[in-house]
Amino acid sequence: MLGSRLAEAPRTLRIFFQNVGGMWSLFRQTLYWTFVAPFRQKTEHRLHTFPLMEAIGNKSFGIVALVAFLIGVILVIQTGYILERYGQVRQVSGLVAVTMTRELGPLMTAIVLVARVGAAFTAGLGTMQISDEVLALRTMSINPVGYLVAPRLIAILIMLPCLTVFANVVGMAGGCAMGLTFGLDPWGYIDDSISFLQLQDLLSGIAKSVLFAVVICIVSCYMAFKVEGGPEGLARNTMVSVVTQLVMLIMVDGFMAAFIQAVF
Amino acid sequence: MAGLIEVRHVRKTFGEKVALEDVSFTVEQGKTFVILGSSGGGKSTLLRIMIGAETADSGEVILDGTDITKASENQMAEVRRKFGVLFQEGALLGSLTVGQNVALPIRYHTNLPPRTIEIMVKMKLELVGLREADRKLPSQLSGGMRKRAALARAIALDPLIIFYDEPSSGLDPVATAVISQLINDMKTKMGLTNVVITHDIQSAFEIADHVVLLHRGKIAAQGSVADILQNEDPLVRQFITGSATGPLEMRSTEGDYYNDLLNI
Repeated sequence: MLGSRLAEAPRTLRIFFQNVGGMWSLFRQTLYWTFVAPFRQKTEHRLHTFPLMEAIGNKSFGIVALVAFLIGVILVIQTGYILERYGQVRQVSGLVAVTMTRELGPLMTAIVLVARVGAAFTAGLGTMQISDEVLALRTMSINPVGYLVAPRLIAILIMLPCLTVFANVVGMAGGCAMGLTFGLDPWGYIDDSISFLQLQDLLSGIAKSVLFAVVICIVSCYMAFKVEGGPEGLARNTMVSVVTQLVMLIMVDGFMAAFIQAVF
Repeated sequence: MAGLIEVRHVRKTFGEKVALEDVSFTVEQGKTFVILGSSGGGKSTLLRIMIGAETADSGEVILDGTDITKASENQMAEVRRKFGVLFQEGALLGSLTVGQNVALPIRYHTNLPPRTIEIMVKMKLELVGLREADRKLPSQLSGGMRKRAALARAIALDPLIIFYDEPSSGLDPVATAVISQLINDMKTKMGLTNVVITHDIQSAFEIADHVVLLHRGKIAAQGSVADILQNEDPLVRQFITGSATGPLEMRSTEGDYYNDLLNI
């Protein structure tokens, strides 16, 4: 068993580096088609971007609100009783505010979008791949990256940071609601939250959400264009896409946390 | 005389499997060229090489003077403007209406005002008898209607050549006859060159000026319909008559059956 795994290692490594190279190449092409091509040739980003923003953003507000509110509540439940023991329960507002804006707001919102949007991108574009729609675009001299990926990147780049800020606020509201059970005054809770927060907390969270948006878009579209073998291949790639996005989100999050800590 | 398309000594392999071996032929302008063959015979691979979706291992495919096996991406974009493709399932973009699908290449490659594009779309749809369906989604159309809509999109930019991938597959006899009639109309009324990949003998002989029979990646026979009908080669005879017995063996004869059973 172990022997066969070891024998497979070179092939697995080769496929891994092929995929990393492929995603990098797609990322570069997407940057070109998003930011350069509209000034050089005809593109139809504006036609597709707004419906995608609605699908990514407006339709995700409910689930993001639910998750963020519960995270805020859970943070207060898990930390409030310890702080209460030391007579520091008022500090819970700052703890929730900083944790939500720097870490959990961006990360949990991105995880929700991986499930809601990343999976849909891979399944939707993957279906187009197996039904020759992507090839049809190529034969019409319409670049699939420009037509399909660039509007998705623009939409998620705008909507994920918006959703993240929204999640931060709702998360703090959840914390505030739970704080009532510890006898905290809501207005005092809000004042404490604001006084604890620094601009860099908010900005670092938004910077993370921008990188998360790139990861979700590029990985999900790349895995869609790689679909082979009909519905079975589509199901496999959708699963791989979601897992890869989650792992990469955590990696990017760790890298950004270390970077922000070192720089600021 | 040089043809509109010249395929010279094309070879293509997938790993150990040889998909095409020394395939050469010439397609003359204004004719209908049919590539016949059984499933797995290399027809689809040949089509994908001819439209630039797949690269040949060796050989040349010269399309209106440009060798697409050596063409740059910019040259390929120019070449693609000269042909349209009717894919097996139509490959219409599911998120767009029929009218929007037909308008897509016109919008992308011309600067015509929307009203003119709308008129052009109506004219193309009228040619295939679908003028009333321009606001319908592809999912609301029958298989035959989808193919006709895809044909309208393929001729949207008035190409020189149309490639058809199994145009009659999955259609009832009446819809097949309609598609065959349309293919003939493209040649006689619009002066287009048709390249048709099919295994449907009856419709092939109705539309063809020249036929190539592919068997296991090699050209087994080629000539006019009369030449093919008079061909005494057992393989050609079996394909024409649709007999289950003959050199076109469907069952694998590789390996020893008894040894296979004993080794279980």
